[in-house]
Amino acid sequence: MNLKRYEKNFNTISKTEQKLLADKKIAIIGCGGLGQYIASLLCRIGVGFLTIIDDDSFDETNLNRQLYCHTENIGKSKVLETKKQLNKINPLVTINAIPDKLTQQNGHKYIKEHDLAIDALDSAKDRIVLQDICEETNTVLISAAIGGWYGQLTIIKPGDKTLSKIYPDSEQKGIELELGNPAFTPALLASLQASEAVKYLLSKNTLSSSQILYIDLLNLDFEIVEF
Amino acid sequence: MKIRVKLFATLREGRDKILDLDLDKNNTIEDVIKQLKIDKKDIAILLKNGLDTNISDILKENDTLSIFPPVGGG
Repeated sequence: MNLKRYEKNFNTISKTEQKLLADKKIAIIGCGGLGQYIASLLCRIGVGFLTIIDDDSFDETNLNRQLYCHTENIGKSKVLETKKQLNKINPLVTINAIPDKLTQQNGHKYIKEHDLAIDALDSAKDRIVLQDICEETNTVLISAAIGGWYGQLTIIKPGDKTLSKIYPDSEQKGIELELGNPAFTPALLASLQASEAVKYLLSKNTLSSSQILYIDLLNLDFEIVEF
Repeated sequence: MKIRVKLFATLREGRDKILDLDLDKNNTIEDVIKQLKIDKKDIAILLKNGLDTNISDILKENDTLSIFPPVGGG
C-alpha cells in the first residue's frame, strides 16, 4: 500500500489501523448533502470499499450545499458524478456506485457484506426501511439528519430500533421542509458521521447506542441526550 | 410541584431552551405542551427523565421533560 498519501493521517491513526481501514467496506445510503461529504471523507481517509446508493440526479437547488454538484453536471446522476470525483481523489478506494433507490426488496443485496452502513437519507420513511434492512443484515447503522441550523446523530445497533423512536410517525414533516439546509450543517454532521464510522471500524469509543447528539448551530449548543 | 422542560432545535425559538415550571399536581405532558403553546404536530420525540413517554402521562415533582421536533433532512 502507498502510505505516503496517508502520511497526514498518522499518528491520529496508526499505520496498522490504516491498513485495517483499507480492508473495510461501508455502505452510504443517500448521496446528497450528507452523503457526498461522507463519501469524500471516508475516501480520503482510506476506507477500502465504499458503496454509494441514490437514484437521484443533481438539480439547481443542490448547488448551495452538495459537495460535487456544480453548474455543469445538473441533471446527472449523483452517485456516478460522485464516483468520478472520488476515483480522482483516491484510486486505492473501490467505489461501488448504485444509481438506485434502496427498498425493502433490493436492500439486502446492497447492504449485506458491509462492515457498516451510514444513513444519509432525507426522509423518515426511507430511514425506517434502511433500519429494517440493517436489522435483517445485522449491520450497525450511523444515522444523522439535518434541518436549518440543527442536526442530530446517533448509532444504531441491530435490535435498538432507535429510528422508530426518533420518527414515531414516518409521515411527519421535518423542520428542514421549512428551514431548508444551508451548506455548513450537512458538512458538520457528515464529518461527525465519518469520524464515528472510523472509530467504530477501529474499535474506539463511539457515541453509545442509547445516546443522541443534538446540535444547535444557532446557539452553538452541542448536547448528548440519553434515552 | 416543580418540573424542568428542555426544548430542542426550532422549539427554542421564542422560548428558553430550559424552562423550570411550577405546576399543580396531576398535570399531564399535554397540559405543559398547551401551556408552552407548542403545536403537537411540531413534536417528534418526548422523553420523560430520558425515557420514551406519552403525551397523556402525568408529571411528578422533579421530572425532566425533553421535547424534540422532527429533523429529517439529508
